[in-house]
Amino acid sequence: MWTMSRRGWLQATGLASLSGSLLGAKLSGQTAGQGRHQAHGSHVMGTVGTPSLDAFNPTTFLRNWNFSELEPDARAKFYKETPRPDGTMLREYEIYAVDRDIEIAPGLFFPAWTYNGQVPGPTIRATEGDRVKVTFRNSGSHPHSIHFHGWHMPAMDGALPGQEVFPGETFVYEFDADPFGLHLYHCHTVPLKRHIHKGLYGTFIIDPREGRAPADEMVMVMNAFDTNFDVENEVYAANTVANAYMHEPIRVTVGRLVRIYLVNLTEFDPINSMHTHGMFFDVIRTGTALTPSERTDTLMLCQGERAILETTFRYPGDFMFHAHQSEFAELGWMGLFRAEAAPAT
Amino acid sequence: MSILGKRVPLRAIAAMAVLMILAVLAPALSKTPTREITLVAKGMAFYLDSDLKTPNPTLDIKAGERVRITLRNQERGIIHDFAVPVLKKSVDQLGWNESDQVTFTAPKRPGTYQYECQPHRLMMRGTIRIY
Ligand SMILES: [Cu+2]
Ligand SMILES: [Cu+2]
Repeated sequence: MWTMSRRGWLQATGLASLSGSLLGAKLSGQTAGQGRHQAHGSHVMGTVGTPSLDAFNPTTFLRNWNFSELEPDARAKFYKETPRPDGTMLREYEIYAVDRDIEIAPGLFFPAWTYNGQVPGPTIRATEGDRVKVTFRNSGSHPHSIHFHGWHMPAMDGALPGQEVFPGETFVYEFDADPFGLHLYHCHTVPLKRHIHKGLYGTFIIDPREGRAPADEMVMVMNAFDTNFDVENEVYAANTVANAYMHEPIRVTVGRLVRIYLVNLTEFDPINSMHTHGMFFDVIRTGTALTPSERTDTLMLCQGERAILETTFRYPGDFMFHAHQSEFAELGWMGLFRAEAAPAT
Repeated sequence: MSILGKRVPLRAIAAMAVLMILAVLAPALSKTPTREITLVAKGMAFYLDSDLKTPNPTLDIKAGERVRITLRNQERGIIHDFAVPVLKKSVDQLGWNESDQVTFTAPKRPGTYQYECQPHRLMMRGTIRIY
């Protein structure tokens, strides 16, 4: 395991994988009208090389929920939906806690506590009025719980004294999906900041009954990692892997509505933010409305705060997005959208 | 005498020769297992390496049989082991792509015993059936 100074790791990971492709080279000259100016080695941003994707793939994570990334057989082990007479669904989930070393930058491993072996945990998505039933098995080395945001009875809170689930024990959380919006779930065992920061969190989307306009939808969790346990983060990201979307830009289509479910689960730093280049987006705070309340290109969220962002790309090419705290951006919280013209029909 | 340009005393060479002969003979001298089982740990379950579809399979073993079980951990980032608690036997805790073996004599009396991964016994456990 590496321990790193707050600033040291970017340089170190670069040295550790000199054989990897230079990000700067990837950025230059690939898209018409952009990046004609060749990147200079000394200006290269971000890390060199990419982490292994077989344990966690940020691109797969982006557009999957309710275990839709799995083959039907494998999916059935973790997720089951059963229609109910009133037209709503019973949605049943299998979530487990397990300790896992996760690669958050090339060659840099973080000893995480995870839900289902991944950080963020699996995205859970229901429709307003559905019944959600989560069987939680603690296969980790410490007591944990799942605390869902949303309406529920105290017995289902997962945060009250005595509600921690000990290693080797199981608890079933059950509640109605309410209210519609963009929510989250996380471990609520003390010391809280340590349990959340170790990786026990995920996104919980509740769709309005009437649905939202069709869109290219994606989930982004702003998170960070304290790799040397000094109560300061050394690595920042959207969806765990530093600079993942610089190496593999998020592909979007010009003219098609894009909807981003943005959740802030950064520990230790009181706020995080998202800024987009070359565009503006509409904001639905906490996702609890059907129509946006503001338009901006920089949104600040405190710990646990979240918002739905909607935009439509006007131009083809690469568009950067990142935390507007430059420090977070330089430490990994930066990515690219790659917009392509819609295929001719 | 010199090896790779370094002078090596004759006594060391003799000792090495004895060790090499012992290494060749040793397996033949030990009790050879009559049953070999290879398991892999993956996706929070055990599988036979010959059947990657059936999680936590039941292992059928003859009473009193000498058994060698090999575990290979195919899960990146998660530590696993294999233990038979009633026999107090287990392999080492294994990281990704590591493997280890445990050899034991099956109980003389037919019956069922649990095997498990000690850190994850809630999910990774199965039955050894002695017949
Ligand atoms: Cu916890
Ligand atoms: Cu295990």
